[in-house]
Amino acid sequence: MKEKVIIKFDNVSFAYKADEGETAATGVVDGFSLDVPEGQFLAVLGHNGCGKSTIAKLMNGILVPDSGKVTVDGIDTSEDDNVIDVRKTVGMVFQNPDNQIVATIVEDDVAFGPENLGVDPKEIRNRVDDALKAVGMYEFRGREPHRLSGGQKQRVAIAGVLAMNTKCVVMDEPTAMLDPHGRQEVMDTIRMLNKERGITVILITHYMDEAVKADRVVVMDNGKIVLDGEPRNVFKNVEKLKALGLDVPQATELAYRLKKAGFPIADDILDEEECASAVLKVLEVK
Amino acid sequence: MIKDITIGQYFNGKSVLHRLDARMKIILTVVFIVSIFLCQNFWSLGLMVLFTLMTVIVSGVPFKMVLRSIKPIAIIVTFTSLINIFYVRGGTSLVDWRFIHITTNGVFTALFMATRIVCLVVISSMLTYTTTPTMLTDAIEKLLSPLKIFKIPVSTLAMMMTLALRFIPTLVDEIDRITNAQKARGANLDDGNFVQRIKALVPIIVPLFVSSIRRAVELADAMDCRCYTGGPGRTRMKQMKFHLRDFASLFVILVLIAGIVVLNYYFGAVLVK
Repeated sequence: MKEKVIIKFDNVSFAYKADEGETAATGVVDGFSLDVPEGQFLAVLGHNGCGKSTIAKLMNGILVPDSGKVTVDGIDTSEDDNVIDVRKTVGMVFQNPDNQIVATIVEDDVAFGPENLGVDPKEIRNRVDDALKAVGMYEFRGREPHRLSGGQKQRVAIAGVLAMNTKCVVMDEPTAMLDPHGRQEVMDTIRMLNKERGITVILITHYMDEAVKADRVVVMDNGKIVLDGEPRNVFKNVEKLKALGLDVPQATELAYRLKKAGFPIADDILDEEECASAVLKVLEVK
Repeated sequence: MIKDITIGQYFNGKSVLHRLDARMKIILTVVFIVSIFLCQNFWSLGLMVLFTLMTVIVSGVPFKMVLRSIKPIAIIVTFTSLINIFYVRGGTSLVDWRFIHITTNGVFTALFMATRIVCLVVISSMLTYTTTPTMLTDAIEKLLSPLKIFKIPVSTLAMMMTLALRFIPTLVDEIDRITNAQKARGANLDDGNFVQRIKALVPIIVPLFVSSIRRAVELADAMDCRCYTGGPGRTRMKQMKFHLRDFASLFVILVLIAGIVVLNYYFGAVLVK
């Protein structure tokens, strides 16, 4: 059986309108095609200005393509009448947690989405409690958002999307402004959403170790996909990634250098554990 | 340090006043302010003072905090009292020396005014001490909703108020950050005369505006993503419900007004025409 595609980019092009005398060279998307099956955890990688934030905004109709078509669960995002339906399906979490929290109390903020959708008050209460428990912020429901840490704020933002019961969550560098601890909190939450709730996650990031955890990695450059596949197969292309200005996970880097130095080591290593056992194998042979 | 600022001046507590419906509290405050101008003699005024004191005691807000809310109006109270003492004529003359004429009416009016202003400020600060800003904006939205007939976008205005409250701490943080950044580059913000110090604020205000506009754009996107349309069809998680205690409080204030009327009638007006 073929998996159901939830987000589909069909030969999409988009360019920001440039002001007079300026050229909008960054964030352009050009002939971009991508199918995201339901339930997938997809990571999108790329250096700054490669168009990865643009595709995030194309996914729920904040931006609409100049040409080509983006469909979400079969709905065309470029039709104005569909915009609410699209956003009911695809939620979005942004980089700066401060700029997406609208209320002065945590639980009110989580309730904001369902309130806008006109959900029944009792149902909203259930959804809010459920969402806050899912991200582990239930005890903080009566707090003021500005007293929370960055990671906690970002989890509140995720709860806000959860409470809308979207099938899909797009995250535009949600950990970029967080400390390592907050980043870990948010990554754990994202994995939980995907594994336990079956929510399709599209994570836009420039942290390699986050991309490693995904089911599939797409690497972008100049508005186009240059690499697409399982993390293991994508990170094999160490030289290509470096040419694009990207890093590879440290463990992959180590294995790559060892191999270059003439050691018989596998080239599809992703994390420290794998790297350690591969190195051990090499040492045992000797 | 900055993280500790509280929005508004809410005092966390569990008193009856805290639990009253915010809409009722706003109505009661307005009724109280009107009724305080009904008092015509010291007996009815005394009743108002007594009621104000009772409210403070019931709320559990420490007297120190209440006094702090009176402090800023001390000058106004003194000033109006002095003007009243010297300029209001009528009744028996107390001092009559060259250009200074003080009469009983003047002294009474001054006392009346001072008491009224203090009671008024104390009662209105009781409203903000016992109600969170969120509850206040919600209540204002509900109370103003009849204005929708005149095409006034009440819920949009309420949303603006909520967002303004929400961003106060964020912007305070931002000002702190920008100030430090400018100081690190050698900006001198604390010295110089008034004009120089105002000028020194420019490098803080300009980046603040720029970043606020950027924030606003991002926030608008985030709100769009969560299906905010500003239009009708929005529900609220927290429904406001009137309880028995709300009606009881309304009853108390009605009794208070009745008391004022009765006392006014029995003891007559204190000011002689």
